[in-house]
Amino acid sequence: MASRVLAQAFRSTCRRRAFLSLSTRAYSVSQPMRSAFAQHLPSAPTTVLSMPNPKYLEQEEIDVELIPQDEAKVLITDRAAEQLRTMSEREKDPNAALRIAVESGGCHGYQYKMELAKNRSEDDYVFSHPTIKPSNIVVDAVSLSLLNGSTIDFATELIGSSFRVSDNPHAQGNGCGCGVSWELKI
Amino acid sequence: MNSRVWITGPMSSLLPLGRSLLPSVPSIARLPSRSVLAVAGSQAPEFLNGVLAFAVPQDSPRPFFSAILNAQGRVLYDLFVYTDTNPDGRPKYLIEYDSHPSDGPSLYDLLKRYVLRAKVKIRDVSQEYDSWAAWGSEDISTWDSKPRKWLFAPSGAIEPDWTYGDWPWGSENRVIRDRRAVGMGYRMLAHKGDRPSLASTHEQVSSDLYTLHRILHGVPEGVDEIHPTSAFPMDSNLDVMGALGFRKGCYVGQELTVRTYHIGAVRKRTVPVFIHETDQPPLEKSSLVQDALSSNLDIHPTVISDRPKPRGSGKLLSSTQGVGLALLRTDWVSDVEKRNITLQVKSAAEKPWFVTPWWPEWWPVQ
Repeated sequence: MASRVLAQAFRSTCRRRAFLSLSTRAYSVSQPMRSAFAQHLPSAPTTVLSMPNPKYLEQEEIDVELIPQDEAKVLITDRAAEQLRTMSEREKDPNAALRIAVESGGCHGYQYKMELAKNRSEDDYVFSHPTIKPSNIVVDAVSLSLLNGSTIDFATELIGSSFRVSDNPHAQGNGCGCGVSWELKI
Repeated sequence: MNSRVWITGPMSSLLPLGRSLLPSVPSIARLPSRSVLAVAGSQAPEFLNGVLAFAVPQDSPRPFFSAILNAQGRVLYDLFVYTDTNPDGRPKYLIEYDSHPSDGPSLYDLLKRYVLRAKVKIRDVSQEYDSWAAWGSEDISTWDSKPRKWLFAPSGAIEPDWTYGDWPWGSENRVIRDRRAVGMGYRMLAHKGDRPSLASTHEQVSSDLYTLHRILHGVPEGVDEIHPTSAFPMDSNLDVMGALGFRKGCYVGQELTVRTYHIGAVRKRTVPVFIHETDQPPLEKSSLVQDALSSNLDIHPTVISDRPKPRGSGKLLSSTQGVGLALLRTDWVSDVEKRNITLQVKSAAEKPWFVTPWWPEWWPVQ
């Protein structure tokens, strides 16, 4: 409808030559910027740097099935690994790590807790990006059973920048409104 | 034809009938088929606070009544949470709930899934305890008297205002002052085989009489009256009964509950009803239907006066001796009072019976 009106306006106001030159005008084309779309973020499966000690799990009576090394799958995006490397360089500590844990609570039952790892424990898995190092992520054995297969991302939005856990195969639905809490898929 | 003029407001003319159905002596009943879970550990108060809809006190263990919801904000179980002490002196919580088979998940499995690394141990101790209820004794009036204070939200949600006085649910191990309604009495857990101490001053009656006592006070309980995974907390009066904390942080199912409290509308409530044969509201016990009715029957409105037919249907959740609890739209209750509509339920014999709801005596009025 609008295009028909426009075409009529062109015909009545412009002369034929001007109309023709419009159709052959070269439009400036700028190089599309290499922006990362959400679905195609450059990411990589992490390498496992360290596994929990089964004897320690038994001794501490931690009730969890230990996920073997070939099944422990956590992905990390390049920008998250970059952020971790920057943090590690700033702290001048190659052992600086991000600890991600799953806790109960929140409006859908489970929530992630992320903090800078102050110490390592014998029930922790340690992951790292294969090439961007140091980019350590520490997950304890119980939490890994609930977030195995997820992607760790670092997103910058108007609300702020933060590490995010996304595409968790154990989570169902959309989670809560603020994105913090999620429900377990049974 | 009676030409009574019905006043709007609590149907006080039905109350004498309700009172006449129960003996007025202090009574105690053992409640069958309730299950008990023991929750202990240094992080038990914090753990329960994240999972239950109630603001669990973190400073010291205290008993209370609350509910556990699912992530979508529907009720799974209504629970009594008692305090008790282990033989070694450490405190624990005892959670009592209705474990009849229902659409809900096993509460034990559900709580175990939430423990993760918290320092909490959960055990099923249903074989160790019996659940009892006592009511009607004189000393209840020392802590349970009208008028009660209430906070009214624009959505229609109502919560009790406990800001004055002691902790409303009591402070004794294995005993809860039942503040779900005014006049409910006590709930207790006794070791299996023992009789609780109150049994000496109360007459023991059957649990059916406790069900009648509960229904007359408009208190739904258990999986038959609060359907797991489908009941809404406000529809089941859980806000009025003090089970929900509207000022606490995140817990499972909080989003829908708090949103309804602030900007939603509570359109249905669980109210006591009389079931009778004629369309006149009953005045005597003989007008009540004594046949046993199956649970969860539909209630349909029939229009008397000149107005469009209301849509939808109510549910008769449970009934005993002609008295029941029904989930009804609140405007239907006032329509019945004003004689605009009558409500009917179809019995097994296909003969429709009339249902007359009323607001309990203690129901908060703004």
